[in-house]
Amino acid sequence: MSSRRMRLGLLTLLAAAAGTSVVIITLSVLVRPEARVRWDVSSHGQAGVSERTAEALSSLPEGTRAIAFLRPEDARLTFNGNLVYPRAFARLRSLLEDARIRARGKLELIVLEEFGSPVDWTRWETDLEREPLEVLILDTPGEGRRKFIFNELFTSTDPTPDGQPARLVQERVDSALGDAAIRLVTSKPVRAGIVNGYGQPRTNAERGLRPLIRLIRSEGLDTVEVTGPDTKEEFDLLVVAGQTAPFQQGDLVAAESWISAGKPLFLALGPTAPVEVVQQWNQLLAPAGLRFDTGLVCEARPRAGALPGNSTVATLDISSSQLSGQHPATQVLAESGRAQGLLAARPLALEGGSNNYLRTSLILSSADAWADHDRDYAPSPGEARKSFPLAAAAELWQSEQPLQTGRTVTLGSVASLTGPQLPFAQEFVSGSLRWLAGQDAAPSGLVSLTSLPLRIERADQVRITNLVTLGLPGFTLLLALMVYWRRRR
Amino acid sequence: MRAFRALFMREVWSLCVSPFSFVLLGFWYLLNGIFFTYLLSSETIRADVDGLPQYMFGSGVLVWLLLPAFPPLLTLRLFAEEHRLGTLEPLLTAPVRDIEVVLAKYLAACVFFLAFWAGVLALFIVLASFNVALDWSLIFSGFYGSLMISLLFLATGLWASAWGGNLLFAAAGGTAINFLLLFVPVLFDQQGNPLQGLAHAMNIPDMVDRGFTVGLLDSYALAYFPLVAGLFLFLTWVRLVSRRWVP
Repeated sequence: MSSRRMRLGLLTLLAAAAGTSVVIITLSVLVRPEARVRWDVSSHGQAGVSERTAEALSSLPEGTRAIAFLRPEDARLTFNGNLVYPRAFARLRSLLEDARIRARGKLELIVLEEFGSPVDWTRWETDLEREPLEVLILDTPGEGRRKFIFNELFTSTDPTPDGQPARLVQERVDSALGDAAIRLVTSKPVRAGIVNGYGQPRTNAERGLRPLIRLIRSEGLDTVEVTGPDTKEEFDLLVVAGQTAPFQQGDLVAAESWISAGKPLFLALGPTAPVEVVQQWNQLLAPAGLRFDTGLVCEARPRAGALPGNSTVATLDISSSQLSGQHPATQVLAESGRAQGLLAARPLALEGGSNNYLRTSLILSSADAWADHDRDYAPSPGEARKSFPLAAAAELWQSEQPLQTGRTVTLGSVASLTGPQLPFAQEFVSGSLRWLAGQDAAPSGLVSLTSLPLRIERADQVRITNLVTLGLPGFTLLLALMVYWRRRR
Repeated sequence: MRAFRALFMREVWSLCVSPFSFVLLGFWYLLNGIFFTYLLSSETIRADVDGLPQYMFGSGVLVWLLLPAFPPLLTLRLFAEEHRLGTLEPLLTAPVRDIEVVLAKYLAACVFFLAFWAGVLALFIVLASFNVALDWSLIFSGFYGSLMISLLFLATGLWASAWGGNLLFAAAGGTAINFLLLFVPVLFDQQGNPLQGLAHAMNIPDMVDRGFTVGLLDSYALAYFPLVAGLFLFLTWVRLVSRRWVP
């Protein structure tokens, strides 16, 4: 009898194990990305990534990783309330999960949460050379890597002085992922040549140009340091930030031929740049109609410690209305209402130049600003208050080669590109670099995130509370009482 | 089939005339109502009411605390009570197949549990009646996800109930299994964990939060819940059958 019971008990266990195995095997087949189908049933139809992005991601090499760093880091977005990050991170999580599944096993997803392991955070940050505000890194097994700062993926409004918190307005996670995947797979990255041989801030120092180089790399561009434009190194974009000595003949000729060939140039000269350097560049940029003026742009700001007579008047707050809403380099920033900051800026001027170029002021100072020449940090009689261009761009009307479009960005500040100041101008610099590299931040990739604010009268809310916490449960408990009473009878 | 129908109707009726079921229902409505009211006052929902389905069906108290506990409370009597009163043996010897007994009891519990969900849906209807614009596609999608989870949790509750006549064991066992199904994959779904792949595939809150409540239906999630629920129903059937072999 006991032997029979044992046999039957064993049979029971075997049946249970068989059933469990069948379910596990079926699920392990169904969980594979290639076996999965996803349906977007949301009313806006943009709950997941697009077909284009899914295709691009599935063409990435095996072992590509998307690492998300989900920690609120921009204090502006949490001022007066935290409405931006929770929604943005929830959206990012669901889109990345969809991307992972639809990349057909090509994409490994690593999500590091705010309250996750600090050891993991540090390890990944070090491994990937992550900078603050970078929220997503797409890392391929080779050298390809694309980093996204929060504001590249999401646009939000700034908090208002009357107590309104920042709000999420749009996102472009899908198009950004798709663009990055296509770029990582199909093309050689654009290479930026950074000039370091003419008294530029040190490129290996945190207070120098090192953060700028990291930013350029995070935009998916390759970098190479060169002493001047006359070099055997090959690059596609010339970056000159903070030159303090005029070019030697060879470099001057190379710079001239670079500009006349219509190759892209990012040039920043601050108010302390020597006259010879400024004159040299003004001559080189004369056909494009861009010119560096003299003086230090100052503006009195309604902030403690920033009154005229104080050197902080040279710290310029750039509101979104001071950014060009027409130019691709600043369009997204201007539309999102995001402010920037510039320190120690020289005024620029847009002149006639040749008719081959289209010129745009990218950043304007406030109309209350003056160009300080006598270093008294107060508007003197000869220093009229007006709006000065602080950054400008030029582009050839017509061009045939992709990276020979004559795209030039000039910025009147070097201090804003160095060390701790860079984050305040980072979005502007990123936008400019993308435009120069021919990777315009296409506004078409932006997806509006509609918000349905709950506008409900206090009296109505009380009625809802009464209905859902008293009415419905009370009625049900009454039913329970009636059933109990009937059964007792 | 006729026996199955009769059995099913009997089970539904017994749930409908049980004061305990209505007390459960009342508490479910009350707790959900309180949570719903709390959400309506929160800053996040006041800024964007579209987040409501995600909190109600995804990462809220409902999925994490209420849903694992209530289905086993509803199913605890289905087999355990029969066992305790000694009516299980006559039922199993009646001219009805064991699988029909299991399915009839399970489907009856599912049908009655729809009343639980109707109350949650009613919360949104109440809100909409005050002219609040809602994205119903997200609500129905999230609702569907939670419905799937409850089908699974009812199956685990039924299995726990089939183990003996101890009602407390049936309720606590079912709840414990549900919490394990919910929490253990989340705990193991961490970067660097060798079991992460398996844990991620079983991560129920993830399936709901990054799928159903944002309007994305995934074939895997749609298959996962019925399959695992089916497994627990199969285990319930095995348990019943084995009673004949190993009393």
